[in-house]
Amino acid sequence: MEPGFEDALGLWETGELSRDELARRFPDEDVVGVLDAFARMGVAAAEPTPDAGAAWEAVRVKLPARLADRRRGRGKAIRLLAAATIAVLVLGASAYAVVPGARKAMNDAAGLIAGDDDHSPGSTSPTESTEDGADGSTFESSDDDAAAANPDEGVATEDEAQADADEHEADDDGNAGSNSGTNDDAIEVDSGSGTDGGSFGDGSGSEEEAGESADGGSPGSGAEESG
Amino acid sequence: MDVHISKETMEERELVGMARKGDQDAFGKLFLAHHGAIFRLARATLGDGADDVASETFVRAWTALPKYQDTGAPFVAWLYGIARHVVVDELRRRSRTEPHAAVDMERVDHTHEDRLTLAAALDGLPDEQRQVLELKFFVGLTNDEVGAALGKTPGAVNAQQWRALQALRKMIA
Repeated sequence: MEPGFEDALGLWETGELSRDELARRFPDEDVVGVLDAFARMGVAAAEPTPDAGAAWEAVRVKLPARLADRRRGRGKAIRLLAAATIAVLVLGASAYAVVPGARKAMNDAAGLIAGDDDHSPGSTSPTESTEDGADGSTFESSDDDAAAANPDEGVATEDEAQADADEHEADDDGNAGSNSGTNDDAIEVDSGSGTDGGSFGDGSGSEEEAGESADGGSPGSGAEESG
Repeated sequence: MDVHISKETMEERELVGMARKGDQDAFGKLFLAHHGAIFRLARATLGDGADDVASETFVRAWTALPKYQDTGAPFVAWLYGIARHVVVDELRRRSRTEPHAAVDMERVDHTHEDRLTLAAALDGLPDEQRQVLELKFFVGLTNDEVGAALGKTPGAVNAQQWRALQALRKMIA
């Protein structure tokens, strides 16, 4: 295409250039053919169209209600929320059934929610607070705690923890065994604590940690303090 | 019945705003204003069945209106985008259900044959060139409006149009 041909065609389209002038300026271009294609498109576009009013009446009845759309959107959100709730419940129930530590933790949490003073951090005697601290360490101690408290064994597996639990139940002297690191007092008062901690792989906190946990009681504080 | 609304006037913007909020009467006015453009596009690309394609385009537009964003391009350019999708869907459906060999060409009238020839030629153009021709001739936009719709300058639209027409000429000659 010669330079300026498109611009000249544009001028022809707007009536600023005649067809003859266009052909004279660009003798090597297929002026007739291009203008014929232009005309053909114009003819195709100019064909009559059906009555839009009648078409609208037919379309109008097909339009979905916007309110229904909004409800659908809201329904979707509700379904998502319900699904999430069910998932949480199922996971929680599974954990409760399978993981002894989770069972203990849930029982403790239920006790806290029910206002059981025995489980209220900081409200008990030093000895009791140690117990509570040991309980608290179930939530608060990190894996690092477990590793620090139990360097030989590292993080206890679920089976190990279960074995430890059995061992604790059989041994009321408080020999926490391999899962320990928790002082004997804590084990004596609540031998399940160390076991529960172990079942999470958390291990039990040290006596000092236990005491601090009882005082502070905020989740995660034990981990921070244990470094 | 074609109701003319000067493109991108305040009135049309108001109608679009009302339709977005669920006003069917406002949407009806937009329908009356632009049905012809969408019908012409459908007829030029499909031959027959343009009625159904135009209707489906407006039903989808109604559903999608809450997401519509005014980019400065004419509202009908947005409708055109929806219509192209509906046309493509229809072409796919036809390719599955209507083998070309089954079409009895003797029963196809001359006008319809011309339409099919033109439709095939348009379909053979590069997308940008085809869009320029469709928006200019069937939808009825100016070079400035086509430029706004496609993100091009009016000069670029003019160049694309004439290149497209030259290519079209070669295909239908």
